Amino acid sequence: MVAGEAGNLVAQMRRGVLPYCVLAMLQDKERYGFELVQTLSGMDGMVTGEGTIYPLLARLRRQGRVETTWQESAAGPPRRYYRITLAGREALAEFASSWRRFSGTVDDLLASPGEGRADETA
Amino acid sequence: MNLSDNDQLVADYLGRLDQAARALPADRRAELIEEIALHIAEARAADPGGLSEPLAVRNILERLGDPQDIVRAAAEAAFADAAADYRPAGPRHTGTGPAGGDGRGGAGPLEICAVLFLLVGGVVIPVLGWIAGVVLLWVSPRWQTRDKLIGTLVWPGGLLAPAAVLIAGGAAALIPASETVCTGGGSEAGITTSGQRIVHHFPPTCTGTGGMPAWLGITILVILMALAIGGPVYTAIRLLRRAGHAPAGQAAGPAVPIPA
Repeated sequence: MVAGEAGNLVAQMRRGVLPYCVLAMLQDKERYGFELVQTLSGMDGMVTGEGTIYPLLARLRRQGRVETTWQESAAGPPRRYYRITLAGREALAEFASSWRRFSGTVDDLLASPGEGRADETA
Repeated sequence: MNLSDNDQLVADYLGRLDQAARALPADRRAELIEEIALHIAEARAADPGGLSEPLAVRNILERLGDPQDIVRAAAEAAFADAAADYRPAGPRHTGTGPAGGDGRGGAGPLEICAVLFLLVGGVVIPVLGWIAGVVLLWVSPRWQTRDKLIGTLVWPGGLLAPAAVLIAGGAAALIPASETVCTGGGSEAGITTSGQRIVHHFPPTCTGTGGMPAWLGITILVILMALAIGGPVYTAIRLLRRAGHAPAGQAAGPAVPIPA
């Protein structure tokens, strides 16, 4: 696989998975936008541009999977806090089980030695 | 570099973002720009050099990424929202906003029962039947609040009111209405004490149902009946047509997002 191709694939997988990573980060506590972006961008391979996370957050809000509240902050501008909703938890749980099944299947395929490999010489 | 140069860097960036975002619906565009601007402000506040160091500001903007990419992500989200709302089977009507989408699903059994109860429930079981319809109306997730309000207020009682009027009117039709009935009257002859002959004329006492001519009363009655019947029927049709939306913002997103 050419390097660019792999990068493209990772980008596509990331786009699909990223919303659920956000939901996972909101499981235990509410966080504000900047905080979420900083954490995600610190994780390897998670984000291209930090700015692209904001449309994702807005979409989660429109889907009813997160709720937002504005809170004043002492140190700077007002902060938008994100909190996961019941619908968000349900979506996350569904994703988690799908992900486990799927990634388990892929792992098995990657791990098993190929049968009848073409370059083996008798 | 001084403060205003850094602010200029930020202003340029936001300007490019604004330009790129022209393709987006106005509300999404405004929200996106506001959030990016707040992000930059927050990042500058958090970074010790963020306010005065040009390098710090450039890094912040660098990490945000190309405005084109950000707008592309927003456009993908808008597309995914629209695609998620689309269901080929339901009745279509004009969308109610970026997340509204077209009609889907239509009226299910709950919605049909609600409309039936609202319309004729009040006739079958006076008042309580209609109230049952109201309960079903508000319980259903397939109508927006505005539709539910119209459903409740445009026909309190549903067809109960016109039905009652019809029944009362049918009974009243047997009695001639708006007729003046006069009794008494006439003249009486008498003789006064001095022997003169006098005639007293007594005006007749008439009772009438108001001063309204019959044709006007009937016309008004017909108009009122048309409204009282037309209102609930129109609302019933409207509710059935508009069934199928879960209000924007509530659950029902796809389990796996559509990769753009």
